[in-house]
Amino acid sequence: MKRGGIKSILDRRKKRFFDHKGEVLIGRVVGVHGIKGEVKVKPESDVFERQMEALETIPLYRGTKKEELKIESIRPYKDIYLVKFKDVPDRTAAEERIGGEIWIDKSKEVELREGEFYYHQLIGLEVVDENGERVGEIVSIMEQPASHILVVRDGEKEVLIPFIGEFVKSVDLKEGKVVVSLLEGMRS
Amino acid sequence: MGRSLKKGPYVNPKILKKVRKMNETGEKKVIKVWDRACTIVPEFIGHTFAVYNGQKFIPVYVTEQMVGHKLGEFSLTRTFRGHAGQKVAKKK
Repeated sequence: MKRGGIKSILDRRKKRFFDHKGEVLIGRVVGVHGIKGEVKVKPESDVFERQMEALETIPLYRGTKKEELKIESIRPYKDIYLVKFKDVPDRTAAEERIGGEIWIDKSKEVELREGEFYYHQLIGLEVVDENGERVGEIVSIMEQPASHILVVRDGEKEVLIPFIGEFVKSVDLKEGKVVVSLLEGMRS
Repeated sequence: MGRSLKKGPYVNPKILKKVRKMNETGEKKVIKVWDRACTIVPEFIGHTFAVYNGQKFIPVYVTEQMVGHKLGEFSLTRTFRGHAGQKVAKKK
C-alpha cells in the first residue's frame, strides 16, 4: 500500500463537503422501516415534530449530495420518528438515504411558544438584576432534571440561575436583556 | 431494599434546622448543601438549595412534585454534552 494511504483516506473522511454555516441540525436518517419507503429519523431537535410540520421540503445531506425531499407523513415510533418522503417509493430507495443528515437554515426555524427559547437566542444575552445592576452574560445552558440552568459569567465570576419564573423575570430578545431576581447567596 | 418505614425518611437535621428558622423569619436565601441523600420534605417547598455535584453547586428550587425525592436527584454529577442540534430551553 502507498505510504500514508490510510491517513489520506481518514483525512478525506473527516473533510466536510458542506460547512453548514447558519444552519442547524434537525435529525439523522438511521435506518429504514417496512417496505413502503419509510425512513427512521433520530431527532436532534427538541421540537422535531413541530419543525418538520412547518417545512414543505427538507434538505437531506449525504456525503457530497444534497437533495430536497417533500414530506408525505411523519409519525413517532419509540424514541425516533418514521418519515415518509414523496420521492422515496420503496425500501431500496429508502436504504440509499441512510446516513443522511437534515440541516435547515436558522431563518426557517419554527416559531416557539411563549416561554420557549432556542439556545442560540439566549446565549450571549446580557443579564441584569431588578435594580439594573449587571450580573453577566449567558455563556451556556445546562440541562438539569428540575429545570434548565443559565450559566452567567462576568469575568471570572460565574452565577448559575435556574430558568424558572421565580428567578427569571423577563427575557427581551430585541434588547438582548434578561432581567433576573437573585436570592442572597446565589452570586457566591 | 427500601429504608424501614419505622425509621422515617432521612432528612439532614442541620438542613432542616436552617429551613425551619427561615420559615419562621420568612427570610429567603440559598442554602448550600453537600448532603445529596437528604430527602425533600414539605417544609422545603419554595426554598432554593445549592446542591453540590462534586464540582459545582447547582441551584434547585424545590416544588411540590419533588417531595419524597432526594436533593441529589436534581443535581446531576455527569454532564452529557449531547449532540449539536436544535436545542430549546423552556421557562417553567
